[in-house]
Amino acid sequence: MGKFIGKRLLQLVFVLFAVSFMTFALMYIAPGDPAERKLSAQGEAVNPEVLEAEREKMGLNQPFAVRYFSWLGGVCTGNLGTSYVDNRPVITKLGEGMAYTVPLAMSALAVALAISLPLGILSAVYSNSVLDIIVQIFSFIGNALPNFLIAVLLIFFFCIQNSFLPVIANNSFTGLILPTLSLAIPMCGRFIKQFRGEVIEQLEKDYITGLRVRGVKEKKIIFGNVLHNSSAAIITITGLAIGTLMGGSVVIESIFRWPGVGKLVMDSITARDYPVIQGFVLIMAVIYVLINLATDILYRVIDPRIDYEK
Amino acid sequence: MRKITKGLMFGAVAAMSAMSLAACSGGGGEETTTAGGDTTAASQDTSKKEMKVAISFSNDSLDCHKESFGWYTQIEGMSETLFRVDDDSKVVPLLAESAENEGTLWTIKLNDKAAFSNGTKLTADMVARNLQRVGAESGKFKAYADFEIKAVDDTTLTIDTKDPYPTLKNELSSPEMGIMDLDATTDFVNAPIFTGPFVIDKFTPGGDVSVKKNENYWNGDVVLDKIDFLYMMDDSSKLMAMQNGEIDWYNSVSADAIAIYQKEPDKYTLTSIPGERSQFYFLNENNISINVRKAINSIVDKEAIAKFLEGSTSASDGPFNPSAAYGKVAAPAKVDLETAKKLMEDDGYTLNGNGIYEKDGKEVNLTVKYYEARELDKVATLMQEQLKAAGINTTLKAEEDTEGYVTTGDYDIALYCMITDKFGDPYYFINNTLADGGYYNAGGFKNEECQKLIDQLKSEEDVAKRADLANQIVQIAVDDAYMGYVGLFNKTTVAKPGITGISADNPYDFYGVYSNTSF
Repeated sequence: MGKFIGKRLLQLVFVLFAVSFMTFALMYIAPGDPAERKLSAQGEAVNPEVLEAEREKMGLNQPFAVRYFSWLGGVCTGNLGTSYVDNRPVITKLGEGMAYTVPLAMSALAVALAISLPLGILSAVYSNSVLDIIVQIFSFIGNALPNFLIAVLLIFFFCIQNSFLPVIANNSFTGLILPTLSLAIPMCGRFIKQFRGEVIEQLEKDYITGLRVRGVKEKKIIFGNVLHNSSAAIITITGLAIGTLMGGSVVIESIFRWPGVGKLVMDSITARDYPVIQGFVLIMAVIYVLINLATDILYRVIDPRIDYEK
Repeated sequence: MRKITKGLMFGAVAAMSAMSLAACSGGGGEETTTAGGDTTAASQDTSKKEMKVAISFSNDSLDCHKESFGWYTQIEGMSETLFRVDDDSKVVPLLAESAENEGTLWTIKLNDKAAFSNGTKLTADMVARNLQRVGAESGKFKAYADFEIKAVDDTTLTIDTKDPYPTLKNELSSPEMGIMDLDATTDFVNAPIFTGPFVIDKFTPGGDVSVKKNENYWNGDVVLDKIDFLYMMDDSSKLMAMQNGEIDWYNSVSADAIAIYQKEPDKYTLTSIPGERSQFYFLNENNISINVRKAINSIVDKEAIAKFLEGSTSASDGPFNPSAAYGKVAAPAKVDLETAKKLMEDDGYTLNGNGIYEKDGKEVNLTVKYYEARELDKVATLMQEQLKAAGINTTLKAEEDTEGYVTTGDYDIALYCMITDKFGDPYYFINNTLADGGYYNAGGFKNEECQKLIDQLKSEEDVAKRADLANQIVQIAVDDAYMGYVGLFNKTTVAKPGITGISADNPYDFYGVYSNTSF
């Protein structure tokens, strides 16, 4: 296992190098001049001399290789550069965003799992029953509605119609409720469908028939065998969801004024704040690789037959 | 099996109930709202001494001399300038009492009552050092680094601009020219000391800003105790927060929201005035003949465009606000399809079976470039429809690089939006778009008479004469059909009834709250 983890961490270095190069190259060839964006932020005309001086100051006149390796050198020492917009360290800005994105992502995931895991299992156990149809309709609606529409509907119901919650959610627990639900509901739609399919697949296997024939109680079969054997798929689905959620949700964060990384990156794209975008992509690559690694390790914990070293 | 069902159902229902209960009990938090949805504790529990304003931008710093941060500190009532631009685009004194000039030497007399929020009196030396710092920190005002700026006594300073500089007084009203106490702190990013009616209370870079009353305000009493500026980018969130009574006012109201607010005039006060951002287009003189250019200007129906945009813009004949002395276009382009037809035919075009003009067997097809912001995409589509109906085909091309296409002349028609009036003077826009070598004059416009007038405008000191010159210059470009003006972005503000003393009637975007802002 140790060798496996070491190998995967080594792979991470190559992945990060490739990701950093591709991101930098894409930013380099993308239309739009960060210096121009900065100077014309309010819609004012740009003075060409000032623009040239700003480009020079921002290092935009340097050749691609010089810029890339200078940035990469900084990354190797933990310095992701400074934002073009406010000259603050990228790592600080991303850290501030993550401090909001992580609680939102985790609460949305927890709610989604708490709702969809029981409903997915129930739907599978009682497949083609009225309960299954109801759950599947819920799943279909959750899947079909975009999260911004869910967000607006939730605000309308909880804030405008019933005044249970304020529209302006300060970054408190109450402020976390509606963004959490807006992210969790569409996720439930997907999860229920996937969990249901996985459980049905297990229930149709011969060993389940064997267990039933031998008189093993249904409760034990579901929780002891089916759930255990489905857990690898559930972990994979959950792992992928964590990766997506950690990237932040631009729409939800904007609607609920949640200052997470999604909104930060969207603002950075608009302002062509390349250091922030590059830093974000790099951090996300690390998160994805680490989540995948954790998922693989969990597989092994769940099923000791898996031997990664072979 | 029944036990499993019960257990699982319980789990799912418990999870959903927990979220619903949390949602329903959330009102007990700090942001209480009352039943009925039209009032909240936000502004009423504090005897109307606290205000909440939604803003569509966020500050990354409070250092008003850098980038455009001064816009925000001024909107938020913290920073003030020596002069300010009033609702009619006239420059009036604020921290300064007067500005006189002889040749290249300006003498500025400060208001002797002016003081910082920490009680320190504003001195000419402090102002001089501020202006020097602006020259060093702001690319836009780097000329100030070369000016000779000296304090003569406590309340008088002189600025030798070395060359005639008639717009100095106007520039001194730019929000980037806010005056800070440079000695009281070095943390200009988070806690600068200004002279305005409000001082910083809480600042989150890239987020909300709270200001509180400046107890030492030099220019009268400050009515409100506290104002929270809440960064809300999303239009629907602002609309719903306003409907729920959680914010007291905001501007840059979207067209959809305007329609909703208009239905309830008792609950919302809407103010809409033409602002200082103009939507206009350049017609490339290198690619399009004068007749076709004039025909285009006779076809584009700006009134119809403004109507379609439902209140977000006002149709305009020129680049400047018509309320300004330099915003008068004597003979604007008018919609006249008959004239357009004659112009096209005189140019050798004939309408073909498709209803499109052609010459030498080739249909006319012009490229319209624009960037996707400030409603330019909608304007481009509407222009395309209008031109096609009159026989001129166009191809729309949205540009990612918002400046490149305009400044390189790589277009037939370049649709663009910019601030045309930064501080109550027309020279900045005219010099950029119509002067020889102007950064945005890339469409082949060259007119000797116009250049002569621009040269005069550069040094003319008399405000009335400047306005007259500007009007003549704009008219020349209109007559030459080099530019077509579509509209001025409206500055639309929605407020709870009774709110006064906000910048709703001022066309400039960099004003917000004042000492007399109240409910």
